Amino acid sequence: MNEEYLWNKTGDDAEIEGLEKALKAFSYKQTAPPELPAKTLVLVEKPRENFFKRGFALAFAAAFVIVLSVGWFLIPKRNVVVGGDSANVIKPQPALVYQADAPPAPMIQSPAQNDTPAIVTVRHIVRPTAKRTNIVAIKPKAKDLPVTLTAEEKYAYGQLMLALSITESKLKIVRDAVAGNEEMKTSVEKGKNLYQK
Amino acid sequence: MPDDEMTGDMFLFVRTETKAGPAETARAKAGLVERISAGDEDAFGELYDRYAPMAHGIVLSRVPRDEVDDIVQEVFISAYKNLGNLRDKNAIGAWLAMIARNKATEYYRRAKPADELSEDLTQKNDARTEANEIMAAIRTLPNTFKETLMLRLVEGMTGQEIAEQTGLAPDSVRVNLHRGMKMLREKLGIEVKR
Repeated sequence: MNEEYLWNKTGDDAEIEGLEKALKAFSYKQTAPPELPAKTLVLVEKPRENFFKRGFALAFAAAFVIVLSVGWFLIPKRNVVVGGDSANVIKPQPALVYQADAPPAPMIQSPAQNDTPAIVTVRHIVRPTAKRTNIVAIKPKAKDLPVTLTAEEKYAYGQLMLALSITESKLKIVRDAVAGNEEMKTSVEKGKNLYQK
Repeated sequence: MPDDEMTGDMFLFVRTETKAGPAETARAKAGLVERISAGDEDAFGELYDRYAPMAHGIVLSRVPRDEVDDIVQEVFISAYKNLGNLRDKNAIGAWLAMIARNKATEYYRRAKPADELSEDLTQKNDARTEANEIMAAIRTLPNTFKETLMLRLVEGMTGQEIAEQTGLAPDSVRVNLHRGMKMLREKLGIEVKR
């Protein structure tokens, strides 16, 4: 057997050539390539927007904002000084300690002893409130205004006063009657008791 | 034209292709695959012309002759459909060979018993011819040997071409040819003695 002929068909080998000739009937007959299948287009479906998801996200965001804003109002505001004049912070004075060697303290004169009265400015310090909501604005009382009534008003006033006095007298009668019954009741009860005894 | 001269022409052609170098061949293979992927039908025709004999030889070594052409077509359609799965574009030949082997195996999986019977009958009817005897002898060889021998003796490919197209190492092809041929001789000799 010619190895070279078997490998690359160089040289001669009658036996292999005979086999080739015999098997030639089985060899590939050139045919047309197969028809290619239609190309399948891959349609990429656009993901649907989930409206429920979006709505939930919006609702959650809104709720979060509301909670934040409510919380901001409810959180106690500390060290809030209300009032323009009290804005100045008064520093605490050091405690007085008696010292023997210390020079004598200057005499404090009472205001009555002074010749000229000193002008004392009183600072109104408003203590910080615990909560901002506790601050209540006190409405100043309205001063009694001078009443000037017309004749009709005076008449009406008189009638009202009369009615009030009548009502009061009627009430007094009723009150007396009630009190009298009570007294009667107690007396009857007492009598019964006495009789029983 | 005498057979010797024809063989000489083929030899020269093969030598010219071999001189192109493995890098250039690999580049050409990769380019061919890319063109097919881009939808170039001519490139697919080129691929078919180049590798159809190899696929035919592999399938013929396993499947009855009547079924071979259909299966070869199936091989190339399957390759076209699954070209995206091919990782190494230079290994297109080995990949096609693997598809051909799988399709041949698939044929026996789906074949009905009646088909096998008809094949047997055909073999008995044609058993007189020398070609069928040789073919039957080759088919009894182990897969590695019968594939290589089929490509060499039936499809007329050289050892180098077999190695390039199937992705096998040239040395392996050489060994397969040598041992296969030895086994075939033994088998044919036994039959002749009978």
